[in-house]
Amino acid sequence: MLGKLGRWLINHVKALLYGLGFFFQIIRATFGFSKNGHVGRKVLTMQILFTGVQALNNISLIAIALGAVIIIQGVGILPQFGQGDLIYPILITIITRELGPMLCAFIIIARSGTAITTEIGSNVVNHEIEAYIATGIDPISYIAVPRFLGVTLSLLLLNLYFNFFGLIGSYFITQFIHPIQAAEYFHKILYNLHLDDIISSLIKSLVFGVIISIVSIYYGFKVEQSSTEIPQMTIKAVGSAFVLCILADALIVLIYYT
Amino acid sequence: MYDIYLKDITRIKNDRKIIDVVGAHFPKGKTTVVIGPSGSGKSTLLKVAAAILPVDSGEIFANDKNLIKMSPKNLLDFRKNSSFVFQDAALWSNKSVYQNMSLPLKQHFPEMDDKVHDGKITKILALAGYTDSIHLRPAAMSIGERKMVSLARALITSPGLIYMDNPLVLVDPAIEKIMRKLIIDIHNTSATIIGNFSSPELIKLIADYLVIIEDGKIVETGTFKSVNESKNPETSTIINSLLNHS
Repeated sequence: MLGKLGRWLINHVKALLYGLGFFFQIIRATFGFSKNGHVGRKVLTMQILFTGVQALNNISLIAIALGAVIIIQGVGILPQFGQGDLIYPILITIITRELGPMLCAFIIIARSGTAITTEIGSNVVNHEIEAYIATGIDPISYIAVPRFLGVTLSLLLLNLYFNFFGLIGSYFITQFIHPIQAAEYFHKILYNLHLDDIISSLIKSLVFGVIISIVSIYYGFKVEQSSTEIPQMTIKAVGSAFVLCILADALIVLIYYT
Repeated sequence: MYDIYLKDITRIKNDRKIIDVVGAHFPKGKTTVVIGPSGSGKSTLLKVAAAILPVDSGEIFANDKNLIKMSPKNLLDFRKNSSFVFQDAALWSNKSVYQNMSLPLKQHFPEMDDKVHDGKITKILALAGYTDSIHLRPAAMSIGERKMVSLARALITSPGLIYMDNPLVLVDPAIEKIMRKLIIDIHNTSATIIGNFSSPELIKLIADYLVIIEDGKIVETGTFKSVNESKNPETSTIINSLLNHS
């Protein structure tokens, strides 16, 4: 029993150290990317296209719908308690500080995280990674770094986009159901939106971007030789990315409020 | 050109030594063929000798420089002057034939003029016998075509050392004839070839040296003549079953 527990602990510590080593290797290679990454720049562009640009439709729809729901619910309920103006801080807390970064992260996990793990896993099984090594192309610099940068940068920009549509786009939808004066709405949004709301939101998307990309790449490279390992690793990547993002979110909120 | 020497190499997988080599020499400018039964570790030995797969212990020397401890700059130089033809082609599936050929050139010769770059790709593909569209992706090609492109990709940087892991297996006779001629032509240059071939005729034609491997261990190594005429019973059994059976 004690032996089993010991082995379990050793294996988990080893996996954690390996994961940290992998993370620092990617960070180190990222610093050399601008100098040595001439063949990887196209991969970075494509990653931003897949992760960022192609997710814009989903993100804008969700942001507008969510913003509209909050405004409609808020202007219906809050005035009954004499707290009609609370809608603005609530909107900013939900859209900017919490759901913006988190929903963008969830969408990116589902869209790009799974794609990254599957693609890298399939590269491993088909010996394409070995072909990169044989050609003198470092898989970390060529495969991992552009995906790391692409996902992190895209998530940061998607979050800004989500905020724009969540706070501004949703206003126009609301006009069909519950008209609000434009001048009053935008004045109060800007009045209640503080710099630390934006910083907190951006820090979260940055951290989530790092988590999603590293976890997806890590599990992709964990595939060894069979194609049946690919869906298994993808499931593990999705599960781990969700849990780590939520934990990181809790930690950031905790740090912010203490 | 490179002289490759493996010293005390072990590679362990699932607590089993899949490669356990005390010493193996692949001389400069010669063709060395690795022979052994299926599952004996030929492909793994080739990948270890090319420093593609990591080892658990030992050293791999290329012209007396240890590949395992080599600086990234020197290792890149080694990669520029060496290449690997994979048993299953291992073309990059998300890239077209042109992009598969272009990437090694862009990696090692970033300043190459576009005209020279494209001319080189066209010439090497024609040499390997590839006549289909250069915009096809590997999934749209036959296994024979993929192997042609894989061989062409390995030659695109004009390397002095080429590892070939069964490049002719599963290839139809017409393609095999073209690729076989190309391999013989490479053998007739000053390039070093370290290969694993399943055709006894081709081995007899190009092998200067033989390495006999069984269960990840090298049984015997030497010139083609000395190994072919070896009195070692293990070597004789392998040679008779794989080389002299026809």
